[in-house]
Amino acid sequence: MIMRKIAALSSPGFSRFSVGFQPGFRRIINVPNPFAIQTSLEAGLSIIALEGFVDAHTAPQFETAIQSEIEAGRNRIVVNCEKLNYISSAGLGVFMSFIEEVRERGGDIKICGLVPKVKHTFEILGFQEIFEMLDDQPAAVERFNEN
Amino acid sequence: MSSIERKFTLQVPSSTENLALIREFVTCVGGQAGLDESDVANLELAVDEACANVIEHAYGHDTSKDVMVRAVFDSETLRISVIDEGRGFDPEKVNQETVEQLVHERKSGGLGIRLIKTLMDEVSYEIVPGQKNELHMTKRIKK
Repeated sequence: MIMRKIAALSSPGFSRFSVGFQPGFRRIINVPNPFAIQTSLEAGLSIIALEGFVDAHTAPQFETAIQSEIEAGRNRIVVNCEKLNYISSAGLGVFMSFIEEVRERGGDIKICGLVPKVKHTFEILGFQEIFEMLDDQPAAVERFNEN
Repeated sequence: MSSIERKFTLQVPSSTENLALIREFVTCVGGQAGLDESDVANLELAVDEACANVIEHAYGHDTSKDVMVRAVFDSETLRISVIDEGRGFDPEKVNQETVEQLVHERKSGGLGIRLIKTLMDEVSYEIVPGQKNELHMTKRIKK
């Protein structure tokens, strides 16, 4: 398996913010879930593994990763979401904006390993009608091999 | 009998980098208000979408501006307001294309307002462009 690290760990670096709590409700806010994305090649497929959160801040890195695969002529893409614990419309928009182009080139984007919370977000917008969602990466790879 | 209101505010620079902090804030408040896990997740996503719209569209990524999130809850409802002083726009006038249309046109945007309306029980706006824009979202607390 060839591994290519594209991007990792968004920087927190919050320099200015204020939180107003009523007396008795003070607490420190921790910002968890660093973002990471890793692309690998397996059996002729591009595997893009997402980790942490994909929101308006991190979605551009996801977009770059998919764009890189398409530009390299790799149009059979599995997005592994096993370690993804949050996605907003910015992330969903990345899937939405590339799927037609990839399918025109004879490929597909298949999504696997969604945790229930993230799967719910996809389903609110009816993405299950547009994208194939598989339980895990082996199932997604096998699905590609069936076609 | 209505309970005592509790108020929380968060003010951060208008940067997408701060969306994680905003989500953590509303998750904390939603938990304290008594929302169940599913509704906390819905609230987190709705407020993220609202704030991302402000950062990208109202302020055009101008990090010298601030985004304010105000939360007020009692035993029955949690009300969240996202407040900015940027270019206001009427979300009702945004063309609501279907997801299929957006896919066909290879668009990456156009989902935020739809998500907010789906996830929250009530949504309303007060818009004075360049002065003060407020998006109000309400979630009823299940007993």
